[in-house]
Amino acid sequence: MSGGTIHLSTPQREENVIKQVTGLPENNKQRAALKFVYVHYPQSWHFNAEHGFLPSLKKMIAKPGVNGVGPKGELTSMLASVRSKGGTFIDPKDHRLGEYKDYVHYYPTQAGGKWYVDFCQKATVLPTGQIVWNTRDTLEPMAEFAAHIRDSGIIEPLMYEFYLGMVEAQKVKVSRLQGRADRNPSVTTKAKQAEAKLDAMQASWEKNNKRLTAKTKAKAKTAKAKAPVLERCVDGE
Amino acid sequence: MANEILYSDLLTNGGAVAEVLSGLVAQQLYDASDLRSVSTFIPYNTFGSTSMAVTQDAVPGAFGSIAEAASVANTTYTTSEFVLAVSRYSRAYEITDLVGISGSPVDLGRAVKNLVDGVSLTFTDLICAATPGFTTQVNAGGTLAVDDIYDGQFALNLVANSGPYNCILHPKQINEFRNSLRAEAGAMQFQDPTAEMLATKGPGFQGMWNNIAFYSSDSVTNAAGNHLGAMMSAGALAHTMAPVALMQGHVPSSNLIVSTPELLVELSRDAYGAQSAAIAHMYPGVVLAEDNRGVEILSVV
Repeated sequence: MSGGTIHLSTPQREENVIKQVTGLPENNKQRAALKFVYVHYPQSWHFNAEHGFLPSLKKMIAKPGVNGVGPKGELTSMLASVRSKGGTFIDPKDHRLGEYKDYVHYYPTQAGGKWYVDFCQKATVLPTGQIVWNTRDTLEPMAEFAAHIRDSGIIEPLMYEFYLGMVEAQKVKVSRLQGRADRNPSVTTKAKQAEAKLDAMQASWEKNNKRLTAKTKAKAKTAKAKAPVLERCVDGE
Repeated sequence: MANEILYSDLLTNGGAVAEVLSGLVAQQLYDASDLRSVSTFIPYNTFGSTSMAVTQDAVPGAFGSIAEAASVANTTYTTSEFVLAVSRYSRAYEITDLVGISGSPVDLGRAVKNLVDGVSLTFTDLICAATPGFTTQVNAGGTLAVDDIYDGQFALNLVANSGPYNCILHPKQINEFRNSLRAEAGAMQFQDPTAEMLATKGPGFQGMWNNIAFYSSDSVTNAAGNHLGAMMSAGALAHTMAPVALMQGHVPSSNLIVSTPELLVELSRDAYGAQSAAIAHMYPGVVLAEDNRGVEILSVV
């Protein structure tokens, strides 16, 4: 075979590809957060000035090798342990979560992985690659999320005994702060805040009780109204 | 005057280079906290499983009063257990021959050292991922104060824990604790440990205060707008490390760079690509062994 002369007259166009960087950068100091679920234990509650008593949700991280999590992130053993301790698993697929269904969200990472976050977490990536999170802005949406879980019936309501425990602990805190206020003026403000919180806790509990009592009475009236209908049916037979 | 030898001319003409790499390699700042000391080591000893159940003995009970000649009923011997399941954790660095030829101070040996240093960091991550499992919490919804540390202490004391306790906090929580401590009045105000605790330290161990060993780690996780620190007594956490030495038979001995009971680093040579890799494997497991031995310490992020 002989090599003849060839003429090339139409070069192919090399399209200039602009590399677009998207997602979160990972390095040794900024490691991607793993998948997680929330659980709740009956004794874990806190008080929020706006929303009242809220369940303190516990984040269980699906880190292989931790608390029985399997190599592929299997949570079976971990959730069995949660249930054995009286905890409730907040199933992301629970329809009662409403708009919060599938509450585990993620951002893609630049390496092609997933960085799991709460639904309200926002990130800003600086030109240096540093990630700045909007941590303070997540407090209110997370409080709303906790309030929704409390009101949706997914978890048991706050037990009276735990409420009493919280009130007693707050009373001790107020007393402790008031006892030190004369030696340290900065404690005076904290003591007043603690006192206000104690009042708000008691007011919130009372308000909630009245609401529940009214609801129960309304239900009882409805039941009474239905009873004659049943009687009429029975009579009609 | 003319024809001076200028540095700028030498740069252009090949008589000088813009910069020369120093033979000294400095360490970048990082959190090297090793929290293994707060966890109980359980030797890995399984047969045909990657999980290992550890029995916790029944709690002794006080005797009951029985009438003369009455028969005594048996008491149930109630044991408990926790399960340690190991999982694979690996890391690899690959370096081309040209890096070595260029005389770079970063070589395969340095990469292997870096891998060995990563063992403690891996454990610290695992331990900090385990502590949010404690069911008891203190200080939900505020900055951390000395009172919260006392609350944690009281909670542990209520369920018969013995000191000293260990307390793992996020660096921001440590700052908040110190800030509160410096305004503390009362019994602890003039104690030496209070003054000691206010002094600056690096990551990791921060000192003892009130018979509590404080540790700072940036591996402490966040959830729902809170940092998830923890305080615990001995035995709250347990960890194990599957002995990778058992799989030495799978690896040609000439490829072993580091072989310890907990870590195996092997060499992989790609002659076609003219590059060498150091690959490290470890099989750790961490578990919250007993819930009553610890509390979660929350503070707003």
